[in-house]
Amino acid sequence: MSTNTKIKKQNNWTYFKKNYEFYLLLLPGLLFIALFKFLPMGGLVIAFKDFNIFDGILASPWVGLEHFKAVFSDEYFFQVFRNTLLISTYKIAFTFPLPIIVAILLNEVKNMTFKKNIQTVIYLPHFLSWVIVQGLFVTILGSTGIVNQILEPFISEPIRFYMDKSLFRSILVGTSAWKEVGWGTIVYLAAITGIDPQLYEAAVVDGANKWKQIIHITIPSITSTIVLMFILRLGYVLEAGFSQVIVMYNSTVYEVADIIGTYVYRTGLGQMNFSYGTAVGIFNSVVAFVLVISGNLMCKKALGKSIW
Amino acid sequence: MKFKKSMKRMVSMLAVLSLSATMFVGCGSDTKGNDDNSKTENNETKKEEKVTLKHLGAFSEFDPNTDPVAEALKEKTGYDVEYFMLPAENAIEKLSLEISGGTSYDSIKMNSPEYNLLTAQGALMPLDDLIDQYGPNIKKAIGEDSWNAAKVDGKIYGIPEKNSADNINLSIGVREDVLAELGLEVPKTIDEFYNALKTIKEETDMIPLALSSDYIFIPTIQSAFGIETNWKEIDGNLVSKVEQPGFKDYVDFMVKLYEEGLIDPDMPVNNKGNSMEKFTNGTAAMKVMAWWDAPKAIPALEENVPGAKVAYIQPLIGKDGQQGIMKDRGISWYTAIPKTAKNAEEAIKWIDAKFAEDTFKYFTIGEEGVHHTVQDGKYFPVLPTFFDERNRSSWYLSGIDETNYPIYWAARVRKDENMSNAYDEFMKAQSVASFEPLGFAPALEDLAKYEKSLATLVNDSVLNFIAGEGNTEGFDEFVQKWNTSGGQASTQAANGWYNTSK
Amino acid sequence: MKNTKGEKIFYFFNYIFLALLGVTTLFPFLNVLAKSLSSEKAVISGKVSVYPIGLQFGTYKYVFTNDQFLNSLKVSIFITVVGTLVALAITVFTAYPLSKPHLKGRKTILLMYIFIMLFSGGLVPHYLLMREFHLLNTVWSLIIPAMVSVYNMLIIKNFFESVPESLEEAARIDGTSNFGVLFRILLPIAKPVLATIGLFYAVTYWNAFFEAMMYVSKPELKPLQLYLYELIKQSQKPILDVDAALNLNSESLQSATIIASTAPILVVYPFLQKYFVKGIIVGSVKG
Repeated sequence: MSTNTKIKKQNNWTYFKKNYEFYLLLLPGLLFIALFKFLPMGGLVIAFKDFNIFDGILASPWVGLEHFKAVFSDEYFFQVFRNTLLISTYKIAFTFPLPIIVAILLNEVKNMTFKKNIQTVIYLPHFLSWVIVQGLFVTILGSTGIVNQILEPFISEPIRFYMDKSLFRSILVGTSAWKEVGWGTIVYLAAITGIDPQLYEAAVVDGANKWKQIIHITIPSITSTIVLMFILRLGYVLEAGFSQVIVMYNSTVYEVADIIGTYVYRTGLGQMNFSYGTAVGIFNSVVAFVLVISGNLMCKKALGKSIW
Repeated sequence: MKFKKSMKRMVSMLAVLSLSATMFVGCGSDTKGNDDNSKTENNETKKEEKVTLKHLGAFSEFDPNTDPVAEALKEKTGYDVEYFMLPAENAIEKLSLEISGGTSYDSIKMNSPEYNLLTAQGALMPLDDLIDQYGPNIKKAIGEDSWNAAKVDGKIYGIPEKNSADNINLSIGVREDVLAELGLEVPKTIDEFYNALKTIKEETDMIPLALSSDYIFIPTIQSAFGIETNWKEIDGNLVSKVEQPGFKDYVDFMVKLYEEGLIDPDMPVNNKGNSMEKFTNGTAAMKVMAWWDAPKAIPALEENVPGAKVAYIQPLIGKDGQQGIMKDRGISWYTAIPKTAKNAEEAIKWIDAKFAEDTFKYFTIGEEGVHHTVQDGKYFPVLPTFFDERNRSSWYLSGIDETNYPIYWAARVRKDENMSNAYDEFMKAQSVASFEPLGFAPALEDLAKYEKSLATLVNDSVLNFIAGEGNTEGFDEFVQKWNTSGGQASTQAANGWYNTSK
Repeated sequence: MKNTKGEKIFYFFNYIFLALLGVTTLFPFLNVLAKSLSSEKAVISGKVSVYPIGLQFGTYKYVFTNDQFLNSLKVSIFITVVGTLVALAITVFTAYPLSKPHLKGRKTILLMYIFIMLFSGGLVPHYLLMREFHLLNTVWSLIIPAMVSVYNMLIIKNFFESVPESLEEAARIDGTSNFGVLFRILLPIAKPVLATIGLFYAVTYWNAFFEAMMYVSKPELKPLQLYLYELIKQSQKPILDVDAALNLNSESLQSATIIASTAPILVVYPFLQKYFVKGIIVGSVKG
C-alpha cells in the first residue's frame, strides 16, 4: 500500500468520524428506497418468465421475450397506447395555455380583494381527490343532472356523458382542466410578478396600450418559464392521468379511455396476467424515462437549466 | 456544557435509529389485522367444534348476513357463516386481488369467466376427493353433464350450479283485442305474422311492432328461419348463427319490415324502456316481451287502454315448416374453494348439509303452509311471507338439486298472475325448443376473447342493414369481416371442444 | 389618467371572465351541496341547482352516524397523521445531508433519488413486494408508498442550501454538532417550508385511494376515499332490479357523503393557502 492510499484511507476515516451524523440521517431514507423502490425493480424479471403467483418467482420458468412479443402483437395494446397519447395530447393542447392566459388576466386585476378571492377559489380543486371530483361531476352530468336539465328542451333524450365513446375523452380533458388550471397559474403569476415594472412604464410612455403591453412585455418575459413548464409536461406524456381515468372510466368506454396504466392494472393484476402486465409496465417506464431525460436535455440546451 | 451536548447527540441518534426501525416494523407484522396462521394444527382435533366459515359471493343489493335465509340455513345446518360480497363493478379484478393476496375465504361462488381465470392460475383446490368423502348429497343432487362442465384437466374445481329451470324467456306480446277488431287471429306462421303487421299498419294508426336497437334478434321471428341458438350443429359441426343458412333470410325479412314501416321507425334510437312504453300506452300493437316484463307491463297497459288484452305469439313457423326456440341451459355459477382456505373440509360438509332434501327445500322455498302451498304438484308462494323471507335464497345456493329445484323455483314465477300466465304460455313451446350446444362447455378462451367485440359487430352491422342501408347487399362482406375479426377462431374453438365432448 | 376606453372595456371583460371562472369552479360544489340538503324527490326530478329544495339534514345525520363512514374516516385520519409525520421526518433527514456540498458520496446518493423519480418497478412488482412482506391488508401498505417524495425532498434541500452559511458557522463555533445544527438552527427557520411540505404530504395521504384499492380488502381498513369511490361506483351501475332501487344510496345521501368527505379540506384550506403557494414557487422557479 502506497503512502498516498494510506493517507486517503485515514482521511476518509476521519471524515466519516467527523460527519457520521449525516450518514445516520440518510439511513432511513436510503433503507426505504432500497427496499421499496429498488427491490421491486428486481421483480421486473417476471416479465421474462411465465410467472405463477403460487409457485413464486424462482420456480416460474423463463420464457424470454415471449411476453414482449405478445404485447407488440396485441391489437388492443396499440389502441391503449394510442389512447394514452391522444388523451395526453388533448390535455396538453387544451389545458396548457389556459393557466398562462388566466395568470396574465389575473395579473391585470387591480382590486386586490377580488384577485385574492378568485385565486382562493380556483386553487381549491387541485386539493380534491379524483374520487371527490368524480363524485361532483357524476351528479352534474348524470341523466337527471343539471347539465341534462338545461339541455332538455334541445335534445330528445338525456345525454349519457359517461357512456358515450365520443364524449368521454372530452369529459376527461374538461374535468382535468377544472381541477388543475387554477393551480397552474401560480408558477406563471410568480414569473409575471418578477417582471421589472420599469419595462411597463417605458411602454406606456411609448404609447402602448394594454393589449400591446401584454404581447410585447408580459409574454416574452415569461417565455422561459413557459418553455420550461412545457418541456416538463412533455416528459410525463405517458402518464395521461391514471388516478383520474381509473376513477372515471367504465367498461362501456374502455375502447377510448383505457390508458397504459389502467390496462396494466386490469390485465396485470385484475386478470392475474402478472408477467404480461409487467412487460407493458417496463415498456411504459422505459419510454417515459427516455422522454424525461430528453426533456431535461432539451431544457439544458434551450435554457441552460436542468430540472434537477 | 459538553455533557449536555453528548446527551443531545444521543437523543438525536436514537431518533434516527428508531425511525430506521419503523422500516422493519412494517415487515412481517400486522398492526391492524389478525392473521392467524398458527391455527391449522388445532382444527384437525376439534372436529366437533364448528368453525365460522367465510363465504364470498357476487354482488347483490342486500346484506347477506342479516337475511332470513342466512338464519334459516344456520338453523338447519348448524354452521356459523360469515358472508362477504364482491363489489358491483370490477368484481373480477377484486377477486383476482383477493386471491393473489392470499385470501382465506372457505368458499367462493363465482361465474364462468372468474372460474376460468382462477383455474388457469391454479388457485383453487381440486374437490373430487372431498366430495367423494363428505358430499354424498351433493353428488346426488347434481347430474353428470353438470359435473363434466366443471372439469378442468379431468378434475373438478368448483361445484356447478345449473340454471334454475329450462326456461323459454322471450316471445312477442300482441294486442289480441286489436287483432280481433281486424278479424285476425294470433299469427302462427311467418306469413300470418307479416299479414297481421301489414293489416295493422293499413287499418289503424298504431305502430305494428315496437322495437329497440338492443333487441333486434327476435327469437319468435328467427324461429321461422331455422335460427334458434347461437350455435347449431350442421353436418356434425357447430356453426355460428352468423353463418347459419337462415340468417340472411332473417335479416332480409327484418329489412323488409322496417322499409315498409311495419317496425317502429324510431327503432335505432329506442331503448328497452321507451319501446315498452309505446306498447303500454297503446301506441304499438306488438312488442318483444320477456315473461318477467309481464308484472309491470300488463297492468300499465290495462290502465292506459281499458279493454286491452295481450296474447303471446308462439315461435313462428317458416315457409318450410321450420320452428324452434332456445331454452336455457348452462352452468350459471361455480362454488369453489381456494387453495388457501383454512376450513376446506368443513366447507364441503356445510355445502353437503345444504343439499339434504328437507334443508334444501326449507331454505329455498320455506315451509309448506307458511311460505308456500302446493296444488297439483305446482308450488305457489304465500304472499308476502315468501318474498319477505325467501326472496334471496338463490344467492345462497352452492348448486341446485337438479331434479327438484326447477319445480320449487317456479313458485317465484307464480307470485304474479300476469307473470305466471306469460310463463306458462311461453313454456308451451317446450316441444320445439332446443338447448344451446355450448351451454355446458367451459368458457373457451378464444370464444371469451372475441365474444363481446363480435356481438357488437353483429349487432351494429345488422342494425345498419335494417335501418341504415335498407338492404343486405353487403352481407357477404359482413360475414367475411366477422370471420377475420375472431369469428373463425371462435368457430374453431367451439368445434374443438364440441368434437371431444361427443 | 390615461385609462383609455379600450382599457376600460378590457378591465370590464376581464373581471367578468375571471368571475365566471370562479363561478364555474364553485358551481359543482354548490350543486352537490344543495343536493345533499334537498329532499330526494326534488333531486331525482332534477329540480336542484344551487340551492336546496325541501331542506333536510337527515342525510348528514345518516352520514355521521354511519359506521362504515366513521370507520373509514378514522383510517384516513390515522394514515394522514402518521404518514405525514414519518414522511416529513425522513424527507428532512435526507435533505439536510444532501444539502452539504462537501458530503462524500453526495452525487451518487442524489442520483439514486433522481433515478427512482424517473424509473419505477411498476404496478405489478410493487404489488408483489407488498405481498412478500406481508404488508397486504395492513395500514402500512397505505403509508409506505407515499413516504418519500423526491420532489418534496429537493424543495427542502434547496431551502437548506439557501440558508446563509454564516448562521451555521456561528453555531459551530459554539460547538454545536451536526445534529444540533439541524434541530436547533435549521428546522426553526424552516418552519414555513416544513409546513408547506407537510401539508403537501397530508393532502397526498388524505386523497390516496388507489393503494387501498390494490392492497386492502378488509372493510375495516378502507380509507375514506376508497369508501367514497365504491359508493359512487355502486350508484353508477344501472339498476336492474326495481326492488333494489328502493334501498341504499339515494342521490342526496351520496351527495352528503361527498361533502362530508371534502369538509376537512374545505375548512382547513383557506387558512393555509399562502403556504401552498409559497411552496410551489420555491420549488419550481429555481435559478
